[in-house]
Amino acid sequence: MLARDNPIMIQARVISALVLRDMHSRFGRTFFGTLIIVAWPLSHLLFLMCLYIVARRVVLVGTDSAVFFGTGLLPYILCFYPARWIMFSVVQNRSLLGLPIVKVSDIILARSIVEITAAFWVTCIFILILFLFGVNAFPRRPNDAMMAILATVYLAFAIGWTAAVLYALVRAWMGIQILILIVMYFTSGVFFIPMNLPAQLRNILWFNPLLHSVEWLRSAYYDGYGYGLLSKSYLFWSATVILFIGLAAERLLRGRLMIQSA
Amino acid sequence: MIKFENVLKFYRIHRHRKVVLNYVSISLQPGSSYGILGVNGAGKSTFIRLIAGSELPNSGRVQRTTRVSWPLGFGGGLHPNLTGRENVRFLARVYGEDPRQVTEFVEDFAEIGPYMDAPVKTYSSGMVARVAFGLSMAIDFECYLIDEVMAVGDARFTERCRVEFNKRKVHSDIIMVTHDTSAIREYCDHGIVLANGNLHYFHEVDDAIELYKRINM
Repeated sequence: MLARDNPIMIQARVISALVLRDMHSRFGRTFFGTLIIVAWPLSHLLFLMCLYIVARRVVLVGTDSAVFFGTGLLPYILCFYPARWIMFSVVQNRSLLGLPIVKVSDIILARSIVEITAAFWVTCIFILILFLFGVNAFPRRPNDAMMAILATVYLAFAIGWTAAVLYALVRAWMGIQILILIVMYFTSGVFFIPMNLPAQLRNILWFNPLLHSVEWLRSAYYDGYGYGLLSKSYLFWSATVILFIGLAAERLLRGRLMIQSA
Repeated sequence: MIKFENVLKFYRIHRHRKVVLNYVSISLQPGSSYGILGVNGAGKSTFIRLIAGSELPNSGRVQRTTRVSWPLGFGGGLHPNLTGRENVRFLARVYGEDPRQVTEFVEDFAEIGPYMDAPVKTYSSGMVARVAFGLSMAIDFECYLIDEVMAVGDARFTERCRVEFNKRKVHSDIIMVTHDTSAIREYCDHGIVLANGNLHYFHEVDDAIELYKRINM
């Protein structure tokens, strides 16, 4: 009987069922609907990259503008999409909280698994597409690139978890979060080199964790890039603090989240 | 066993604090079925949700060592864009049951024919109730929660619900909220009256019904 099952096994079973449900229901019940979860951020990424390449032909660093803009846009897409979709998770699945076995954290974790998996597919397909177009997108330091991507997805997960709780309680949070993410995007160094900015402005932008994601990923492609500015520990700790706030909020406000489902 | 330890539950309604359970402690024993009575607005449904764990107390603890159902006939877990079959398979997976067996049972019980493969949003409310009730019967629970709804559909289907439910009653407990005192007499061993934030436990159901009638006059 379930009551005597290992609680971790129960949670794993609930989360895996929620993952399948999310994949089959978010954009329709067909396989094409599941593909959209990956295709949407990927097409956004490719569209923005083409736009930047066409608009700005001068290469700021290295020899290929596709690599420069790609390494700037990829962290933004890997942060923006998971954070946004995780934010919607509780509100979209609130009726499930009427089932005694389903917890708020299960719903957020299930959506996070789908989004993190999608983020890795986006990364792989993006690099493959660049290769198909003759762009050498393989990093000089693959470990650094991989760690930068993992750290960015961790940041997205942390933002998403906190936002899922806040959005479930305050609908206005969606607008606030989109605004924050847009500001993070424009100040992350996607289309400029932060080291070329005046020190005063650079010191302010330093507090944007997404800037460190971009710097970290680019440092895996360009020798010496990010030196004096990149702080891997700041990215990690800012994500951890945000996640801690989200976990604490979920624990403290769980009762209110559940009342609204009843 | 379901154990309430010093449970406080209240809602704030227009700056007014409505206390549903006022530091209540009670143990609901396995092998016994309980009928919960109370006037409208006393908080019976809230009490059921606290038992289920789909709502939390403001303070105190609710411990469960038994597999508790969702309130019988609850259709909130059904996703409108998924088919009846997909929804049934999802809930079977969640509860660790064989999806094929649960689907076969619900398909046979709900009698909605080809609608089983249509999205739930195309169902009538009666069809949703049939699938939801079938799901409650398809998954084995040690304790069934009933919030007024004991059967759904027309007279024939209502009778079918009763027959199926009586089969579960043999090896499962029931915690029932209803104004129907004859149903309490039929299904429950003990009675609880919820009034003014307090639970009044009665070993004999008739004693609980008597108090309920007095406070309901």
